[in-house]
This record gives sequence, C-alpha cells and structure tokens, in this order.
Amino acid sequence: MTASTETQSKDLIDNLRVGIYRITPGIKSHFLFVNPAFAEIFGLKLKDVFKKKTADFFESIRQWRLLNDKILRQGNIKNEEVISRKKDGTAIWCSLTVTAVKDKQGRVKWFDGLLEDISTHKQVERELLESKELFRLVFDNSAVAITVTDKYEKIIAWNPFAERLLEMDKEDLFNKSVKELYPPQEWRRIRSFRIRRKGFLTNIETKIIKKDGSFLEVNMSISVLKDVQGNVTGAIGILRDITSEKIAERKLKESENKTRVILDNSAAAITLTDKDERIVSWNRFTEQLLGMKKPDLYMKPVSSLYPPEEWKKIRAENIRKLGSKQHLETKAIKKNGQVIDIDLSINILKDTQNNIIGSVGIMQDITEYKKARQMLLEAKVAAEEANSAKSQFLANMSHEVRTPMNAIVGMIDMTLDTSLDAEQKDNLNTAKEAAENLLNLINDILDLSKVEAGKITLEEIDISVGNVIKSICKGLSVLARNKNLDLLWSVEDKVPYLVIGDPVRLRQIIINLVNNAIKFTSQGKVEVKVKALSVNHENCELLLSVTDTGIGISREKQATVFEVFTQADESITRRYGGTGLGLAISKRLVEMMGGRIGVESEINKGSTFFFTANFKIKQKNAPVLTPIELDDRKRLAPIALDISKTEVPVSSTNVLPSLSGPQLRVLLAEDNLINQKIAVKIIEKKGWLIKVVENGQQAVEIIDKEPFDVILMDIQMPVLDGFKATQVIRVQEKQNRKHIPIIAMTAHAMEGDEKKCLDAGMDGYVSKPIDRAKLFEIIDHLTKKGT
Amino acid sequence: MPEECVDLNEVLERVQHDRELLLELFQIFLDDCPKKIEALKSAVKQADVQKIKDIAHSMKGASGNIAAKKINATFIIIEQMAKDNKIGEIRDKIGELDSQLAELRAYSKKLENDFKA
Repeated sequence: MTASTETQSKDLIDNLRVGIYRITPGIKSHFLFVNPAFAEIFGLKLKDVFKKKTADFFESIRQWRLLNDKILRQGNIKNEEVISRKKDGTAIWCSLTVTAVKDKQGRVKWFDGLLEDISTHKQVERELLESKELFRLVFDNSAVAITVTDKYEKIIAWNPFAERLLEMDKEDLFNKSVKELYPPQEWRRIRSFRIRRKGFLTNIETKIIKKDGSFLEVNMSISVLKDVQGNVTGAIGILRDITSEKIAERKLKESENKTRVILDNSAAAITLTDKDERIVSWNRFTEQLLGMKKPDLYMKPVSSLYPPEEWKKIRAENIRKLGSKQHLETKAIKKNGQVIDIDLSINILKDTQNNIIGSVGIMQDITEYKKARQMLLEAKVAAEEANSAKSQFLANMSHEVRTPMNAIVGMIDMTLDTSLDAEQKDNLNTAKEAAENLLNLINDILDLSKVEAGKITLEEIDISVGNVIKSICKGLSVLARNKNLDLLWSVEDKVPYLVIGDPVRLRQIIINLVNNAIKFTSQGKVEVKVKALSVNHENCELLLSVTDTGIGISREKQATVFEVFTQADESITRRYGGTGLGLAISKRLVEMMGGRIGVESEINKGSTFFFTANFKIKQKNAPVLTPIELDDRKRLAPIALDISKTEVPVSSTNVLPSLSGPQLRVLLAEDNLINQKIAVKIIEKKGWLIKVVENGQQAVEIIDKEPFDVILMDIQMPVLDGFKATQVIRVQEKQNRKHIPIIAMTAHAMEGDEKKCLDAGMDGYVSKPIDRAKLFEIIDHLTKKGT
Repeated sequence: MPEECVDLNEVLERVQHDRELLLELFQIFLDDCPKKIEALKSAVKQADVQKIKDIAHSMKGASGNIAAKKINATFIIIEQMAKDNKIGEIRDKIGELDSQLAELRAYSKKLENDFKA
C-alpha cells in the first residue's frame, strides 16, 4: 500500500457518514478504532468513545453477548438491526455489519464493523405499515360496499360489506364484469356521465342487482384510478344502501301528496306565507276563490289580498303575538276587484327556537251565508214585529171582544130563565154552549196574547194554596160527578199555609190542568197534590201535580203538548174540544212564576201533569181579610173540607149541580162613570158577568128580577145610598130570598168605615182605588164560604 | 223635575194595561170634573156642607181610581174641610183644581200621543 493510498484511506474513513470501528472480541470488548462519524452518531466526542466498553452501547450485556457469540460463530454478520442509545438517551436503530478478523493461528484478533443510523428508515417503514393497516381496517369494516375494478372494468378487490350488500361471495365477485352489477338501463345512464374524463362522480342514485336478482337502491360514488402517465388503471366504487331511505322518502312524498290532495280539494282557500308575509304556497281553491293564478300570488305580500281598511283590522288583532286567530269576519279582494265576505283563520308558524317563520291563512267565502243571515235576521225581526203587533192588537182588543160575548152569554142565560118551550130551551142551550166555547177560546187567545205582549204582571198577595185547590176542586166537582170520577186532593203538611203569589194565575193553571184531566178521563179518578220541594223563612218552592187515569199521551206527543195550538192528537180536538191554548198559557205562566211544567204519561194508563212554582212566604200567618161569616148558601151543599187532612175525596155526588163553572154574576151599584168602567173592566177581564146600576134604589129593584152571585156596592150614591140599599136587601132576603154577598166599595178610608159597612149588613169591604187582587180574594172567599 | 200628576204604573195596572180604556177614563174625568167644580162652587155659595162632602167624596174616588194624585189629594182635603165645616178655606182649595185639571188634560194628551207612537 503506498503512502498516498494510506492517506486516501484515512480521508475516506474520516469522511464517510457511516460509523467504522474496530473492537476486541469477547464480553469485555473495547474500542481499538472508531471514525468521527461513529462518535457523531451517538453524540459523543471521539475520545469519550474509547472510555466506553462495547457493551455500553447495547441495552444489556446479554444482548452484546448474544451478538458477540453470533459473530464468532458465523465469522460475520450483515445488516443486523439493533437498538442503541445516544448520549442524551434517545433510542436509535442501528444496522451493523461486522467481520471477525483472525490471525494466522485462526484465533480471532478483532472485529471490524460498520454502523449505520437507520432510525429514519425505521420510522418511515413503521408509518407505512401503520397506514396500510389503517386502510385495511377501514376497508374491511366500512358499512359501505367498496369495489375496486381494473382497467377492463373487472372486479379485482372488494370489502366484506360488498359481499354482504350484494349477497355474493368471492367466486361471484372476482373478475366479474362490473356492468353485470347494474340493470342495463342504469349502466347506460352511469356510462353517460363520462366518469373517466372527470375522474370521479359522487352521489349517483342507482340500482344494483343482488345475487338473487332483486334490485337494491344505492347511492354510489366512483373514483377513477390513473397511473403516473395518466392512463386509467381502474376504479373504486363506493355503494351505500339507501333502500330504507327511499321507502321513507316515498312515504313522505305520499303523505305530502295526500296533504296536497286534501288541500287542493278543500273548499277553503289556504295560503302559506313566509316570515315577511309574502305568499309562498296556496291550494287550488285559493286560485278559484280569488280568481288568481300563480303570478298574482307567488311572493306577493299577503296584504294584497285584502282591502286596506280590512288589512288594518287584521293587523290590529295582533295575531303574530297571539299565535292564532279563528273565524275573523273580514273581506277579501278578488282579482277582478270584487270584494267578498270571508271567514278568516290564521295560525302563526314557528320554528323550534320559537322564531316566526310564516303563517297559514284559511279563508272561507261567507258572502252567501252573510246574505242569508241578513235575510233571516230581517225575516225574524219582521216576524217578531208582526207577532208583537198581533199580540198588541189582541191585547188592546180584549175589552171590545169580550164585552159583546159576555153580553151574548148573559142574555142567553137570562132568556133561559124565562118560560120557554122544550125546543126553544134546547136551541138556547146549544147557543149558550157554543157561545161559552167561543168565549173560552177568546179568553185563551187574549190571555196568550197578553203574556206574549208582556202585559201580564204577577200579583203579590197572600194566598192559601190549599184553599185555592179546595175551591177549584169544589167548582169542578160537578164536571167530575157527571163523569162518575173521583176528584181528590191533598196538601202536604210542610206546605206553608199562606204564601205570597198571584192567586188568579195560580188558579188558572190548576183549573186548566184539572179540567184537562177530567176531560180526558172516562173512569177512575183525578188527583191533585201539593208538595213542598223546599221551604225556608222567606221562600218556598212548591210542586203541584194533577194525576189522572185517562187516555194518556204518547211519548212523542208529550214533547209538544205545551206548544201553542197543539193537542196530543188532532182527533182529540174533535172529540174533546178545547182551544189547545190552555197548556201553552199555563207553561208561560209557570215560567213567570219561576217554575217549570212537565208531564209524565203512559198511553191508556193516565197522565201526571206537574209544575213547580216559587213563592215568598207570608211572615205573619194572619189573614188580611176578615169577611163576615155567612149562612150556608142553598145551592152548595155543606161538606166537610179540611185542607190539613190529606186524601180528602170530593165525592161528586155530594155537590149539587147548577153551578156551571166558576163564572160569577156580579151586580155593581156605582154612580161614578169612571169607577163603573174600571170595575167593569176588572170583572169582565176575569170572565165574569157584570151588571151596572147607578144607585141603591136600582140595585134593590134589579135583584128582584135577576140572579146575582155577589153585589159590589158603592156607599155614597144618589137616591138610595149603599148602607140603606143593603138594609133593604137584607130585610127582603129574610122574607123570600137567599143571601147575596154584598161587598162595600168605598173611598172612605177612615178607621171604623169597615165596621160601619159590616154593621149595615154587608159581608166585606174594599177601598177605592180598587185593588184588583183584594177584590177577587174577598169575592172568592165570600162566594165559596161555608161550602 | 216636577212631580207627575198621574201615577201611570198604578192606573195601568188597575185597567190591566188597557190603554184605550185608560184614555177613555181620563176623558170622562176631564169632561165631568169641570161640572163638578161648578157644582162645588155653587154648593160653597149656598154653604151646603153635605153637598160639598158628597161631591168631594165622589170625585176623590174617581180621581183615586185614575191615580190622578194631585187632584185626588185636593179632593181629600176638600172633603175633610167640609167635614170640619171650614167652608171659607174650601173656596181657595177649589181654585187649585183649575190648574191641576189643565195639567191632567195636557198629560192625557201627551199620553195619547205616546201611545200612538
């Protein structure tokens, strides 16, 4: 070796970027030579290397021993990879190539080695491995099907999910032409996308064929693989099963279609607006109703559908704040400018954050409805006016209508009392019956008219409900007797003796019910009962019922018997007569008394009509009137009546006939025309007959010629005053006549007046101005007294 | 507000809301009353206490029946004065009736118009 060669060798060794070293063999090996690169690799200074043992560069002595033995055994190692550590402790991968150098005797003199830092390689190698592994993991575990095709469009690789999705295995897939996966039409469509030129295509919705031939809806993305020169080498396809999404989508669409159908076929205009109140959607009827088309509606402000003043009203409803408004009556403008009446409902739409996103408006055309309503309203007003005018007229006519009727009945009566032959009598009786029927009808119609015209006010005077019933039963016992019926009544002990109410109206109701009961019953009995539903210190509610054993009323007819001009059966009108107004009047009167009226009935078993009425209670149970006891009148036989007893039969055989109904004949002796007229009015209103004379003398004379049930006597009269006339009448009665009750009517309002009247032989006393209720009460009392 | 000369509710109730009858009664009273006033005056002149009493009593009843309160009150007083033999005061009291009657006449007229309306 020349010197220059030696120099060159040394330069080479010093400059090489690999570590070169010579060490002694064995466990206690140490360095004989290292080049600068070696020290550098470990971050050491050259001289420091020599202070270390070879084993120091290994993780453990054992590791070095194994390597040492391997070199001795094999004579060399090549590219042995070992982990060592730098001065700062960092691990480095080293590649060792070592040769054992021997002397002539074959003993190993030293090891010559070459060391290379391969840490960077190692890192790259590991990362590559890891990324491959990651890719494999992704590929194998993806829930999408991945297929790789070669440039001939044959499948060369796929992931497990592809097998699952297509239900195919290795044999089915490997080398399969990818076009066979698609229905021909789909494949042509995919081809038309020219994927090769673009390089990729995403989100194609298509169908693929599974192994069993069925189709699968998929979403597909394709990436084309190219080599460095840009030649296509294959493609990767990613397929996602969207069958369930498609089904959901179809269902949604179907439901949207249904909604659409409903919206389009609803007879209301439905519009949807966005948050800026512009119309974004509407149904077919909207176009129909408003005569508009898309250009008139789409993105137009919703306010354009309404007249400005109506829009102001709609805005004033503050619907955005309230959230909704139903049935707003407003107006809309059609395209042709016509304004129509509509019913508008608005609902505000909000998102989940409660922000307003728009509104739904529903409008219905109510033009016709409003017209009809207006017409109905007008018709109703007209009908009410007509009815009210009729009632008003009838109510005002009452006097004029009733007076001649009373005269007719009275005259017939008087004529009947004269001597007549049988035929005349018969004719007159027929005429009387007809006249009485007519009078009843007139009375009922007038009564109903008065109720309807609001002209009836209820009296508030003391009445004994028991006495009212007693007197009614006595009065009607004639009718009951004629039909061989028992007429019974009972008053529950709890019922207060005196209450405050309107005796005339109460009588009217009960008489009507009892009359009906007798009329519609051919055998058995009629029972009147009074019960107290509730009683306290001030008020009571009474239940009055009339039960018969008559023909009964069918369930359907029960609903209408209280209506005007309705009897249970039209044939009944013919057979039983009657005006058909009695129950209608009774119903209204009961309602005025704060009660209700009803009926329970069974065909052929009988009916119970009942009503409730509210009364105030008289605080002191003292009767207001103290009429004079009078002798039993001959025309009414005495029978024991005690309202405290219950179930007292009024046997019709105990009552004598000749009292044809409760109609009384009244004589009025009064000189003042005004007082006459008022008294006549009051008595005729009651349906009684009244005869007027102007002084006491005329009164004395007329009772000789005509029968009267009661005399109303003014005190101060010309010719013969009331006191004197009474005295004359009483004297005459003692000789040849029955006792007629005489009631004084006087404006004497002084104490002792009453006593003076009674002393003169009068039976009762009322003061002027006439108090109607008091007058009737005392007449009632006196004419029923002692019977 | 001056007190009404008639208690309309009371009299309407008495004639059972028969308005025509009511107007008729007013008319009868208005026709009759002046005659009675003349009769009263002549009775006062003749100092016929019984006659004064009778006329006043009769008119008291009639005016009470039509609820002509003021006139009614006047006749009540006249009747009492007659009973008390205060003939001198009766003359003055009768003088009040003329204006009260005029008031009633006006009232009746107005009522007639009201009812027609």
